[in-house]
Amino acid sequence: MKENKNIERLFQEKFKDFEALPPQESWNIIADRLNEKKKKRRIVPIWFQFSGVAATLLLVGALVWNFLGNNETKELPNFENTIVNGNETDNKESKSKTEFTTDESLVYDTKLNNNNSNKNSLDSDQLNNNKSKIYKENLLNKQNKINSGKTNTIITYNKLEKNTDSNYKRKKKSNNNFKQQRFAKENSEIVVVSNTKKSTAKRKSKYKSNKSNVGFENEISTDLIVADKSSKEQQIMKNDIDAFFEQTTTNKTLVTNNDSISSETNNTNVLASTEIISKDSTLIAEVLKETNPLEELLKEKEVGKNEDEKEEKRSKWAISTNASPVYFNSLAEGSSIDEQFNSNSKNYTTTLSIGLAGSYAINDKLSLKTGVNSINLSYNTNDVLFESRMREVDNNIPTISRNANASNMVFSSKNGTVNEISGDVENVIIDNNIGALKQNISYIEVPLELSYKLIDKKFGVEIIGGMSTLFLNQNNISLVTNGLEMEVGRANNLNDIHFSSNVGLGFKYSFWKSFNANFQPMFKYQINTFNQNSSNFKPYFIGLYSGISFSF
Amino acid sequence: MIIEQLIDECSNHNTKAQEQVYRLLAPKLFSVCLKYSRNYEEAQDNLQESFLIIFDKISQFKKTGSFEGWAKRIVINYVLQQYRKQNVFEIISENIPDEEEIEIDDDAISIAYLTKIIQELPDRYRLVFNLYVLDGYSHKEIAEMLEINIGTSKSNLARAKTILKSKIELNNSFEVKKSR
Repeated sequence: MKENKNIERLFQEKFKDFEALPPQESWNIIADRLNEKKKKRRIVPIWFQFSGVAATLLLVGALVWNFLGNNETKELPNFENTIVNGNETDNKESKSKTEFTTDESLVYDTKLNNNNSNKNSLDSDQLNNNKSKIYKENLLNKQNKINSGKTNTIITYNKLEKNTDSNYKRKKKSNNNFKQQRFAKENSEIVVVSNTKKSTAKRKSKYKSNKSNVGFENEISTDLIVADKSSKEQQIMKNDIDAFFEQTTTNKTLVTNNDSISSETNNTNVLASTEIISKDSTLIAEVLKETNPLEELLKEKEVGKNEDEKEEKRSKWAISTNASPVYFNSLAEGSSIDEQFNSNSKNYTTTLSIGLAGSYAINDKLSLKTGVNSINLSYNTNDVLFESRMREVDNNIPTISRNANASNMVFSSKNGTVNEISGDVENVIIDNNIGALKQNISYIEVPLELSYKLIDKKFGVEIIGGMSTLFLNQNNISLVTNGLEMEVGRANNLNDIHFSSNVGLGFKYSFWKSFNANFQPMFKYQINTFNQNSSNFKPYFIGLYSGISFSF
Repeated sequence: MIIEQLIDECSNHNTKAQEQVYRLLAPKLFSVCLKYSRNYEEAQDNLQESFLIIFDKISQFKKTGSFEGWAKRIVINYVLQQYRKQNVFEIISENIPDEEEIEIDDDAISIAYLTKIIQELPDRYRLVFNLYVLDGYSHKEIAEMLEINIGTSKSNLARAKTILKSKIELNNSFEVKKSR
């Protein structure tokens, strides 16, 4: 039919239901590249998961150890803890496994549903065939005209599309007779189409390439070749699908549900198709129009435009305040004051650290954090014997610079020998003379840490690693006895600047827009705190930093 | 719904679910690629890259909208991005010819031929024509997407239509001659 048409309208009508199957290898290429990605993605998280677990265990262990002090019997709960943890993770694993299997079955269901929707009624299928036939004819026309090899691929492709449809159907029925029928039908279609061609050729001489009989015969033979090829492919695909259906037999109840749904949708197809059959086979190009795709597009645009792809702009910067109890301890038995106190019991005081921090998000996962904390560390060395002499005495502990008040005092370990002063007649060891040396150090800490987000939702988990620079700003040693405290001097073996290496976990909960509540247990191991031999004293501290951060 | 479960599974990198989504969307998205690309091979490349993006970002899809529409926009955006990289967008704007009608024998024109002549259009004409005529974007939106001004978009569309029209007419007359 010739008619005057706006060119936009022509294209809109033609492309309304235009679908084209991509080449078969496309999916393989995509699948390969998805697999590569998956592998890459896995390498990092596994590493992080292990280190996360290790850090947690270390932390729990350290905490337990810290709280329970030197008491040997208290190591037991620690073991229990780890055992319980192990069980828990086991349970979780098995749980997630079961979840996974149920999910898998869901996928099969949907797969089935797809098959069902592919399973159109005979009529609509025939129409599809006709449609593609016409499409193919046109392509052949063109092929004759321009002799390009590319149209060939499109043709076979188009053919394949049809075959996969019919293939699913055939599989459903698993009936060879049916297949033969179909094949016969395909052949008859060629005849039907050729008839229409003749008639249309009379009317309009539309298919110029078919004018000559030779060209016409050529076309039929190509059709048959294509059909042969595709029937081979059907066989191969059929095997695949057989295997697949065996897997899904358990889901029969769901299948029936899906059946009813898909049959509903098929009904519309059938209706549309029968209508068109009654009209004319030349109108087939308009098959299966159900809704105007332009309207759909407009709707989608209105509804969906705002919700995709627009990644929320991440706030790059954040500032936070934090406060933390600090648990100070040493990894090895030792004393920073003098070797003779190595075996003395020590009380580590829990102190408070407060600070400000700023962070910058390098990307979605990584962020860099720095800040300023004030931190105060203090511990007592117990069972220290002290005496006050009548005159000034030599300093027997070189690491303590005594002040004026203490210039006549000597300190020694109760456990140690006191050779130096044993000859002194005045010297009698009295219980009263036993006290504790309290070392009090405070620092300004400047951390530089990198954090990696493991979970980043409303609730988030990250792991943190880095280092701190600590600037000494207070340093004194005092003697504590019977509740009285007297400053005796300062330690001269402390470095003004030293470092610590930090690891920890961060938990956050965003409670309001860009405000997060943070909790970060951190383990900080101090390096080069002392400039002289500190008698195997290896200090570390654990901070449970909690605070609020604001991102912008 | 079932499609949502599929999407969830895809977020978990379940290959079977990804294949299902591919089978579901590929015919529709490939037709988009064919329209927006220069040729069949390029369309195939664009399809593959787009699917990788779709599976990468599928967890960001909010399930209130149309999944197909979302996927389609990813394809279009990807294609536009490619051309933006190649910097094909500056063509001198021309006068807008009159709206044209074309005498056409509906059945003689195949969709394959139409696809071919769309693909043969200069890059920007093709994009503007597709966006405006086939995918319903406004000139304003197109101008923003292609970083051109609205007038340019309009004149590109007109030029595209003129070219397409002449090719269809050529095809028609060729067929008429042959049929005599």
